[in-house]
Amino acid sequence: MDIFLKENEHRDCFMPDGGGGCNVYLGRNSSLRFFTFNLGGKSLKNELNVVFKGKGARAELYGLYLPQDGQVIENETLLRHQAPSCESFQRYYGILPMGGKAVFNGKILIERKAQKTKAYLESKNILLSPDAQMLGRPFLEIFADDVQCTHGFSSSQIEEDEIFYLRSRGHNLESAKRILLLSFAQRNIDKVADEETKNILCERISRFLSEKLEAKN
Amino acid sequence: MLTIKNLQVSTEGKEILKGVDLEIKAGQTHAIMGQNGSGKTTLAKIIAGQQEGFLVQGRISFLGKNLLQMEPEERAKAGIFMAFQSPIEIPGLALASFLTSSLNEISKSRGERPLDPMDFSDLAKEEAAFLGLKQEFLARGVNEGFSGGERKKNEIFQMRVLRPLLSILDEIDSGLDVDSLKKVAQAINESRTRENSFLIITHYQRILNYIKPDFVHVMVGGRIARSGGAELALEIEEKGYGHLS
Repeated sequence: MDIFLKENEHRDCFMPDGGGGCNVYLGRNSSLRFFTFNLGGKSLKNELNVVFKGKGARAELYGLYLPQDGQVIENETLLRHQAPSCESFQRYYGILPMGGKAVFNGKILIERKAQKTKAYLESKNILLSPDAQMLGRPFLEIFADDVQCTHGFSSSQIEEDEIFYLRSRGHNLESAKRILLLSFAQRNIDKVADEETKNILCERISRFLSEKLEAKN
Repeated sequence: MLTIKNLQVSTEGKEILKGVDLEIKAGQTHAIMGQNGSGKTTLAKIIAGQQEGFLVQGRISFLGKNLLQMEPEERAKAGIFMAFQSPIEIPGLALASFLTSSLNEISKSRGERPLDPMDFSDLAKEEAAFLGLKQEFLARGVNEGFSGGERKKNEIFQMRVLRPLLSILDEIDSGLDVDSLKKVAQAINESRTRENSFLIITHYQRILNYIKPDFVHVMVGGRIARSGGAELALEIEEKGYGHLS
């Protein structure tokens, strides 16, 4: 799938449910929001390439993956900054229950002429079980000298002090975990403009989490 | 209301509390003072129900129940509230919905009907305004982008809405400027009744200029080294903790 954004155009796009490849070309001052949300189902791979062709373009990429037992969800992004003063923002969040596996490889390439580029890349993952597996890392290739680039990758369990805070406010252990995970996912869901889509996503994730947390107890 | 007998707590083989006895009756305000590492925060956490990583011996009873057998949420429902020294941030969970769900959990266990959303909204707005917390904070993630002082106010805000019987306030005064401290103290004073009690944990006497405790205890090395009236706090302010250890 190829998508072209013209000068000053804004578009919200979703990666197709079954995964696949998508190339987006950004014209001058255009802005893109791209959502890659995967919840259970079959193993799949999403490949997303964004090319910053025109000056001042901006892209925000939000990913959310909740693989189920035996499923592998792979995300690969390649952001090619070819024009100056562009901004890219990537936030990929994962919740990995027992037997779930995910891969995230985010590559940012900043070419020599892409001065004043700002690039941000974050992948944060919460593992619900010792046998859940998260692999991946950011790759940066920078040929321009006047750029701001930040990246972070983390995998951890739900923090005990966060659970305790919620329990001290009257929530039981399971509900505390569910609230924390849902609010984590909500940060990316909240970026979706359409209210109905947002509500459907929240409901599906809430159901998925309830099942996984119940299965564990 | 709360009776602690010979409470001993250790973590990773290190003794933190070495036999604490404390009795708090309904309507009383107690202050615990002490230096860093004296065990004050551990005591607060143990009463509120943190179990992870702690080995606990001794007895704590709350309204006749064996507190150490209860889960943290059961303690909250029984009327215990802890204001945290460093409250966590939960982006993505709006403060208003967090507090509504907490209040509903607690009201349900008290056999009360859940608050109507409109009534909740009025109550929350009123309490937020009283503490000088901006209305927009209710729609924001819990403590997301809050300053240190705002986080402390948010703890007292939650206490005001949840109306606990025993409030444990762990260093509620740290990081507050004078105006905020006065506001927070005023909110605490206005919450004091003959039925509810407070345990104020602090380093400094400063907050006790605004909240007059019935009893002051000084913790040194995991034990209560001295207990007395409000005047004990002034003595500590003057002479320091050194002469007690």
